[in-house]
Amino acid sequence: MSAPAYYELYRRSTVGATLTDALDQLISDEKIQPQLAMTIVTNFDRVISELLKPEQNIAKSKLTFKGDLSTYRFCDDVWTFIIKNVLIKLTDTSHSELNDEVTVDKFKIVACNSRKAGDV
Amino acid sequence: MDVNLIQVQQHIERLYSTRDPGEIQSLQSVLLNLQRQDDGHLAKSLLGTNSKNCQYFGALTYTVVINNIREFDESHLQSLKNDLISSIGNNTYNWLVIKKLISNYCLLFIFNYKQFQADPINSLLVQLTVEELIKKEQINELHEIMFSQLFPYVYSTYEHLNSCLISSIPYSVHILGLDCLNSWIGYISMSETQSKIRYTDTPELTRYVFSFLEGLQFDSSESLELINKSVSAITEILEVNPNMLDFNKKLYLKSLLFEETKFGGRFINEIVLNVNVNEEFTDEISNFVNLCIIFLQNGLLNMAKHLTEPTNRFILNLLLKLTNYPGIPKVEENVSDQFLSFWEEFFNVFIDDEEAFDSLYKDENTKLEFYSTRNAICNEVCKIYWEKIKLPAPEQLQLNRSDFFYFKSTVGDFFSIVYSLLKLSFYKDLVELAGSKFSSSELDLNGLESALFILHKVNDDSTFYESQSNLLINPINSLMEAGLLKILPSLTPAIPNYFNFVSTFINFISSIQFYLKTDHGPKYLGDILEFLFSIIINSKDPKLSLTSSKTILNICQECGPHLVVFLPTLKNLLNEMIQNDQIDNLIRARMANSYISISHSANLKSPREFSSVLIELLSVIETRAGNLMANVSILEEHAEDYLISLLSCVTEIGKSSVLPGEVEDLYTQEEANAVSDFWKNDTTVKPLILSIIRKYSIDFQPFSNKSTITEICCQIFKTGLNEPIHNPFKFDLPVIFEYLALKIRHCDANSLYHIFKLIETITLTNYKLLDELTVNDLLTNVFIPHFKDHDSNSDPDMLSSSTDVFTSMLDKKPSLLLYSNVNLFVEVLHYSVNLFKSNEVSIIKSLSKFWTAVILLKRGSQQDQELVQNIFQQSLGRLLLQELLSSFLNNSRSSLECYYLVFRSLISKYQLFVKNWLMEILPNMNWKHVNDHDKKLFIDKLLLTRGQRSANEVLKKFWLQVNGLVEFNSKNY
Repeated sequence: MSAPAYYELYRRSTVGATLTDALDQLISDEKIQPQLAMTIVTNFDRVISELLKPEQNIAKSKLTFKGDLSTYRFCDDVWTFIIKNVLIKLTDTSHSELNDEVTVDKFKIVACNSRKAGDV
Repeated sequence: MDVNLIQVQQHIERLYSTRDPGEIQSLQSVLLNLQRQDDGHLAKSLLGTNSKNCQYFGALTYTVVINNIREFDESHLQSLKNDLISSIGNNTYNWLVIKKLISNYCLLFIFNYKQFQADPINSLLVQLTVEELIKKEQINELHEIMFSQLFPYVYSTYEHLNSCLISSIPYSVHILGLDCLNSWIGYISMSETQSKIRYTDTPELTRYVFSFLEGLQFDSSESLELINKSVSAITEILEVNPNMLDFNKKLYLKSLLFEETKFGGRFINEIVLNVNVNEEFTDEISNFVNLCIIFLQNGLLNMAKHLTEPTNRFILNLLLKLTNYPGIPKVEENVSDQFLSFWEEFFNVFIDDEEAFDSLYKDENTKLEFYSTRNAICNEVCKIYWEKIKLPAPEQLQLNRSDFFYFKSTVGDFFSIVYSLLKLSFYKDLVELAGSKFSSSELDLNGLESALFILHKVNDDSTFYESQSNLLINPINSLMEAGLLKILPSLTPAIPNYFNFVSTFINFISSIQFYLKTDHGPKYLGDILEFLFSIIINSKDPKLSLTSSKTILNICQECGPHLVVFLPTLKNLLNEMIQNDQIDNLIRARMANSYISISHSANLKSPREFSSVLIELLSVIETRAGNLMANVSILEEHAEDYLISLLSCVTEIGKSSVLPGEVEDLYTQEEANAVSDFWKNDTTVKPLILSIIRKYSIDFQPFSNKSTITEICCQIFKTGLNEPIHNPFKFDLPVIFEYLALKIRHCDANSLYHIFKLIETITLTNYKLLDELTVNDLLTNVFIPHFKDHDSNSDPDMLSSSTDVFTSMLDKKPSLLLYSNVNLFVEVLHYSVNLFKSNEVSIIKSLSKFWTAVILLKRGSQQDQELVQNIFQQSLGRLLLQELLSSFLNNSRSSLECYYLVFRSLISKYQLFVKNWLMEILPNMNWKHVNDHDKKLFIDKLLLTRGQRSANEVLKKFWLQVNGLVEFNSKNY
């Protein structure tokens, strides 16, 4: 069994940020050591990356968008795109009737190669 | 350490038996304390007891001891090693205890490898060592020791295993060997990334793993288990470290997997496609398919380039056979789903490298052969998936409905990719396919549903990104002319999967609006609308009615001019819906929008006629609502929803009254002026709308304190705000402000959010029409009373929305706020400083934008800048910094980013002042982990950044220090 390192991308998601806030609170209350918190956060990286893989069949929402590509870069194996005047179409593929469209001025995409995650 | 062992044993037993969380917590706390104080004696004593729980706890205690002390002195290390080795050899422990002890031994080695000799560690130990290693950041030196001292031992083990016949070694040893190998594959990849060590020569490892594919028959569960593990190990190699296989090995693996007489060919024929056994081996089949896909994905470009070569043709035919694995996808089989991503990637290669492929073949015939082979494969794959997404019988579908539809949707996306590769010819084939399902003597509803589903997906996709609709008009026309709509009478609730058929049909209709609005469309609109209306009226499924109403709305918005003849029908239907409280509220609102959309497009240049339509409809709504309000003493939930829905219809009427395009495209200058003048001087429609708004939000007592009503009324005002010329919903600003001043005296706290949002929209869209006097009135009548009633503990949405109003003024026209009345402006500033006492993220975000706008005043004149600087330098700057810093340091990690910009703006604009203010503020703030020197260092570092992005780091580090916390992230995205 291999245990590759995982991206820390999802720590910025609501669930990731909430987890780190909760861990901070536990450290401040001296309920856990910072090392344990670090391990938990690393576990979180692994679990959320695994669960969001398409083969897990859990994430069924799909997002398509169009807009003007304003900036793009590829540094350290991380793609970043900044898109302006974006129309986003949200689809829940398990419920075809649940579709929604959102317009936003600016949209930032940070993307990494999931297959190479173990090589990081 | 003096510990009462019996008492500890009692604690452990209690810990594993109690279910009381409080007791568990207190026991854990006591035991953890003991573990932390231990040097190995307690662990050893616990292992010496007879209780399994205590033995396991003893093993766990060793882990705590090793993690705590990490680097041991020589004698302590020696005694621990001896204790662990003798415990591992104790055959009275269960395997959990043994495994933990071995793991501890590995941990001891990792922390103290410099003092270890090259111990004769058996293969299990080596496996566990690499597994422990993978979990930790290692230094180069340790990787070197692993490579020079442990790996040769591992390697010779595999050499030995390879020298024996598979059958001469026990099955359990092979299982262990393959598990161990799997761990090493992961470790080798990590070690090569973290160090300069390279495992270049590992033929014995790959030989071992290949040997099971070469030499085993599929005649027992044990050999299939070994094959399965080997397949997983090879997949792991290809995924994490493909360099372990050189060119020849890869060629060999290719022949193993894809030659008819070798492993792959036999496995496909004897297991995968053997209906007698394949149900038993779904995991093995899935792993095998996965390996084939990963192997081929590593050389997709090459395979695509040499598509016509016999070997590749053979492999592709094999893949097609596997893709067409018998059974219903996601219900009976997963193989076709596994292959979907492969085919997607494969066809994307042709799209991404289209030009390269085009220039690859000089000879026309070869080029032709290449494209014809590619298209044939494409069509073959599409044919398989078209069959696969056909709806199964309802009882089978029920077994895994959601996954089947997820698969179906992914197949739809796949067809969009194929369309972008094969373009119009493919689309025409699809249309032909759909046509063939209803034009022959027997109607094939299942086949038609699949084809329409794919066409709908392709239409949606190809018209969303860039309009290719012109290309698709002719094929769609041929489908319609062939009599697609004639199947409508066959769609009766009696047919199986009725809901799915109708749903797909409606979605298809919704996706061909580009066609319906052309000159071909009108002759079909009657039948289509009739069908959609019948669904709304008769369908027992609310989802179908909703989808249907949405499609009607889209058609009416897109094809308005062609639908004028349907106005009387629609009018009757809408009137019925307004009177009937049993109709779904959303459907009623959509129908109001549909009706007005058509009327508006028919009367774009005749505002008088449009005005008559609006008066008639608004009067019906007003009368119906008025009657209900007059006769209702206690408002029941249903009646309340119905009344609210009638008001929502007014919003929809407002939305459909906006111009459907640019003024220049719709009118000449004279026409635009005439229309604008008509609505500017309108004395009938606007008063009617205002009367409805007033009736709902002020006069009718049960609604006057309802935030939903305020929200809808504000939406009605918003609908016309952005219009370039006057329209029935574009009200003069004093009219709106007059309403707001009245409303604010008749509303609850939750309504304030919607009122403030409306003012913000007015500021953003009509700031040129606003003046200081109006803003002064707003501040005096709306905001100052609100400041008195609400502090930082009030509703966060309301507080952030009020702050957003001020930000919008500062962003668009600062003078509005600055000169309305300086005292009032200062009052706004002080109120906003106090809001930092709130910990709500939404408020902090709004405050951050507000204070950044105040400090930078991007659109401010010299005079505006001086005014603000004066206020800041007097006392406000220091006060702001104090509240800002205190809020920042007390808030949670996830909120920190909201603060950075304000700090940076302050530093860049008031650098010297910030230094002085900080030197005054910080000495009065005390924290456990920060001394005076740290504070001084923080000030120096912060000012050095001059407000650049690096200030974020300084602030974050100070926050961590103050709160005694650590940085979790190693990277910023």
